[in-house]
Amino acid sequence: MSSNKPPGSSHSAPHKSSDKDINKSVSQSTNKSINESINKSVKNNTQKKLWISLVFDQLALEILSRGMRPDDTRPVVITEKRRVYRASPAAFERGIAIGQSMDTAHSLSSNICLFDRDPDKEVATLSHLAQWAYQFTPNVAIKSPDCLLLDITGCLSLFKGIDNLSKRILDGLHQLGYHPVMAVNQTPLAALLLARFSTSMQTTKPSPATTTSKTNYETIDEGINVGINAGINAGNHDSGHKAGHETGHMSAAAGTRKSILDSIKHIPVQHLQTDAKHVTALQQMGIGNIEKVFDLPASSLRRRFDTYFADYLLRLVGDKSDPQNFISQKANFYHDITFASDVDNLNSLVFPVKRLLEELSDFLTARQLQTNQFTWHLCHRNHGKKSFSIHLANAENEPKAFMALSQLKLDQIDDIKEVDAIALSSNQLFSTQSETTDLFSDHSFSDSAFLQYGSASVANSFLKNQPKENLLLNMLHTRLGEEHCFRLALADDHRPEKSWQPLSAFKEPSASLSKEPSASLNKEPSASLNKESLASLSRQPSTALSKKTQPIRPAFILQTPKALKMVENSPCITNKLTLIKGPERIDYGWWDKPLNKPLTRDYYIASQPDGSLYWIFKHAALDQWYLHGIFA
Amino acid sequence: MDMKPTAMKPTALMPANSLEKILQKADVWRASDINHTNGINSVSASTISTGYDQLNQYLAGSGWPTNSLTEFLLDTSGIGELRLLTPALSQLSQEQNRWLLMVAPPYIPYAPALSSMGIDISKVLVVTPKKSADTLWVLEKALASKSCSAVLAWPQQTLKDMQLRRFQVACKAGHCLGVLFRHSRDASNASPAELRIQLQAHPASAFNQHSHLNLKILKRKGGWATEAFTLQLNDQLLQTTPEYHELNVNNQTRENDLSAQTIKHSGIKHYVLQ
Repeated sequence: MSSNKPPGSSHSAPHKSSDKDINKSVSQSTNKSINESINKSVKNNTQKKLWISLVFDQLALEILSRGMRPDDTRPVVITEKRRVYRASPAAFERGIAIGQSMDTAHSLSSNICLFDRDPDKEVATLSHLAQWAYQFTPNVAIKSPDCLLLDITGCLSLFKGIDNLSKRILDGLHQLGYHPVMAVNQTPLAALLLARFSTSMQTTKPSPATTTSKTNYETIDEGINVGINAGINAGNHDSGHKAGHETGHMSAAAGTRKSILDSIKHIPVQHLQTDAKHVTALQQMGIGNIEKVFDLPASSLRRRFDTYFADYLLRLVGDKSDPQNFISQKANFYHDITFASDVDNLNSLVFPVKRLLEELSDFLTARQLQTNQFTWHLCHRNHGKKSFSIHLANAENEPKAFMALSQLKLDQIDDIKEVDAIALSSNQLFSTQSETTDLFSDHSFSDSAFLQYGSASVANSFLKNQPKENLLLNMLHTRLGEEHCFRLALADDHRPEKSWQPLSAFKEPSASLSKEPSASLNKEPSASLNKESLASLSRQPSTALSKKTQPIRPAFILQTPKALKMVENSPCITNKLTLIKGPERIDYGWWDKPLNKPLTRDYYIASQPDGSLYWIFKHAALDQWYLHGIFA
Repeated sequence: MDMKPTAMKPTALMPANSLEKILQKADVWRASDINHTNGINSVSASTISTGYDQLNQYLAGSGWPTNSLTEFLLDTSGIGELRLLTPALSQLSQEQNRWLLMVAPPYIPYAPALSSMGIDISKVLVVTPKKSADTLWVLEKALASKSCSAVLAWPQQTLKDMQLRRFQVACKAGHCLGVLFRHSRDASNASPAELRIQLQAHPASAFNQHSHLNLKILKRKGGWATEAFTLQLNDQLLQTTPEYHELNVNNQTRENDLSAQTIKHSGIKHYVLQ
């Protein structure tokens, strides 16, 4: 179960058998250790640790390749000090090998994409992956340069066993475009050793196998599953049985030590994560694999090598505790994808966009968060960064909705010709609020419920549980922009222009303003007032009655009144206006515009000969008529 | 052989019997039934009352269709085109927890007025797209979204037949009251909208409290086009009023009328309660 396929090394098909042997041994030991740890935790209350190590051997390559479309088959090569450091499967197909010079690589393939290794980026990506792995366990440690350690002791039962968990981790990483090598063991160092060993099994063999990467991954995945299952069956029959026996007369520590040793004893000494001189010394002593190292008496080892090495061996088999430096949670989300080549067609951004959104969603899920805003950054080395934000009516975590909105926004961009990196960030995070939905009511809401609970509360919670309504609002907002999409609210002012205000589409109307009209309407569903409600209104005249006796207003209003010309002493729009009703005098805000004369307006309802009705006013002081509204 | 006598029944009875049977089928209706809601059950299920009995009589299902497009054709705004819709909009906004969307209105919808007409303004959403292509996009998305109880649109451009057809399809999918306000010159062009009404202002009369609107139904479900008829809008817009130059008419208040209130300075009564 230790080996998985990095994309750069599709050449392990001929060595499958050797991989499989290791898989088997690992999974057997793993399974045994699980059985033991479960037994122990029940009996002795001292739980065995279980670690997953993930070695991102191809990280330098995957940073670039994960932004490529799956059907993009250009060979990608990462160089370090002008030598090939990592190469994509397509590059291996063309005969490119690790360690070649850049010139050789160029001569082997004409359309090759060469990139210099970016260690900073690798570190950043690894730390991002550590944050991603936080969804499985809170104990995640980063082992530079390319490894993650996950303490999965506490989350095994949550994920229903090691095979489920490892499948989920690997599937998740494949989804993100990473293909690490995974190993499980009871100490961090042993897990790391196993993973590194299986990595080397894949990369050191110079075999440019020409298999398509996809099918290869599948077979490997199956291989892992089979390996795990076989391991579990085997474990149930003999090793589990054996383990049960062993625990009877063996101390817990010795049992752990033995099972760890069993899993790593075949590994050659050069894979030990220690000084090269120790390895050389061991090899000179004729010690080939790890089993033989542990056959040596501990005291002589301590004498021959330094204490560090002895210490390492103790930690390797769990005789000494090996505390890890676990990551702390990052507060905000930021991640990017760098492209192997400039993307000049924004449509082809859909694939990386989707990938980043999935990461955002995973990030939010792991932390039980939601967001109401995320920002895309499109970068290019020549024209800098262009950012655009997407706002949502309510905080949510819906990758599909995020995708639809992002696509709307991408479709609108026309001033960006090419992009070489795309990043996604989100800073406004809110903890998920558990939603309580009515068991019986469907989406459309019934009259009785409306009357029962009062419209004010319903109106205020209007947006809360309305995913569809929110989606429409989000879409309109994203495509049209904030200023072209608004809601209406009443304002506390008697002047016509100021007695309403546009309300940002995402804002809930403030309680005092929204309650008033809807509450009074609610009391009067049949639009006719009976004695009882009349009495209740007179008791509380301040709010309800003033609303009831609202003067008649036009349905359409001009934000700035339009001066009217005069024809034969009458105001005129297209034809002469006849005053029908009025005046209604509205005192104008001397407190806003201190003038000598009071600015009063006398409002009339006026009609053109054809019967259309307008709301006009005369400025007494200026002796000028204005059009202010239309009775639509 | 049992069948034969039945088949040989007197011919005078046969048509009556079979006609009744046919009429009992759900998908068969008589044009004369159009005025009665129980006549066409399937239609009445997807309409909302206009709030005007006189108008309801003319419409299939006795109301505005909520699963198909309605067109109002008019020369100029200000003739009562929104007041005609107000009762239905008020009912929709209060009964349904969905948006009431106004797309590209020619002026700003005035919140206090809408609110006093009984519309729950917390559900009113106004969009003013910059480009005409955006207007079309918004219209189709909103109509089909199922999250709008009503979509009112004032498209500035002349709509093509294909675009109208898409709106009609979207309206059916979204189950909402979709009303397009179009210029009356488009009346002569064919449209897939199920209901098309030409609106014309009715000259204000001094003897009426309410304003009136002339309607001519150009196209409707289950009926022919109608002659123009006048509909009284219950808006009390034209309540009797003194001459405009007499600013101090403060003597007409009925003291015992609780609902009548005099506004200072103007001295004009506002009857809100009937």
